[in-house]
Amino acid sequence: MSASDNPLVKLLQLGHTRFGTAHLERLREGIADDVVWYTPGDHPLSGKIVGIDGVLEWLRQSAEVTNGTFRADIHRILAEDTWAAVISTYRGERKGIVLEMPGVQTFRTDPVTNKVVEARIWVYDDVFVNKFWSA
Amino acid sequence: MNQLNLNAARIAIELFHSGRVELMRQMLAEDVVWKVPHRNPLATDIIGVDNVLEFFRRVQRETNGTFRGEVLQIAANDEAVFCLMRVHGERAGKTLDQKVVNVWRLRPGDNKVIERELFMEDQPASDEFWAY
Repeated sequence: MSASDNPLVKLLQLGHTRFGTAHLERLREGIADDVVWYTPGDHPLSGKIVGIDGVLEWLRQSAEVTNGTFRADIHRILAEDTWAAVISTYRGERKGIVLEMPGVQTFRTDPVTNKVVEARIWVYDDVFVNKFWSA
Repeated sequence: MNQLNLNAARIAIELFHSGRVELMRQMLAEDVVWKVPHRNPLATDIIGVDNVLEFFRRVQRETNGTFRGEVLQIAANDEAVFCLMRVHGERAGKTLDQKVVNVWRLRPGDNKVIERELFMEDQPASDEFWAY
């Protein structure tokens, strides 16, 4: 199966586009109600979130505090049937600090519903990321 | 990279993380850039296959031969390998045990690794582990 035919790859591309265009409510179509979402580090947006409402609020806040500049530019998506890794560059600007850093998002999906049930953010330099989101 | 190659890669990755570092030589480009992020004495960009192998020997020396890596998930295409691992090691009374993500970028044609990036589940714990 080529990457472009993988439904999970399509779902993740669509999801990142919806975040980028602020169509957050439509992310409910691809994320389970009881999703578990992990963000590393020690800053106001780090930690474990359980539930889609909390995740959408987290996404809203990440856009709001960066004036809509925060995004993950996708380089490639490597996927199996029920999990995938999105290899990205995180970009954003906040209070004069410019974020541009390699990042990875890993996702696990439910094999029946095909919705995301677990997501984890991976950052290259947590010291800088803590500074960026805490500023 | 097909499934058979991925299984071979999984075995090789676990072996070189546990000290069989010469196995890496055939997987890496001569001028590979091996990025070791964060704030600890081992953190730097390592350039060249010999220096990467020496780095892995040092990891074993520093951990008295206890450093290990278990492959949890691996996926690849012609451009890159994603590998979720659990790494474990002991050093000076301290224990390192956490998940990491390796991304290896491949050279078109021969699929040798030209760049590696590392992402850790808990960077402060890693920095504390390697600190002198």
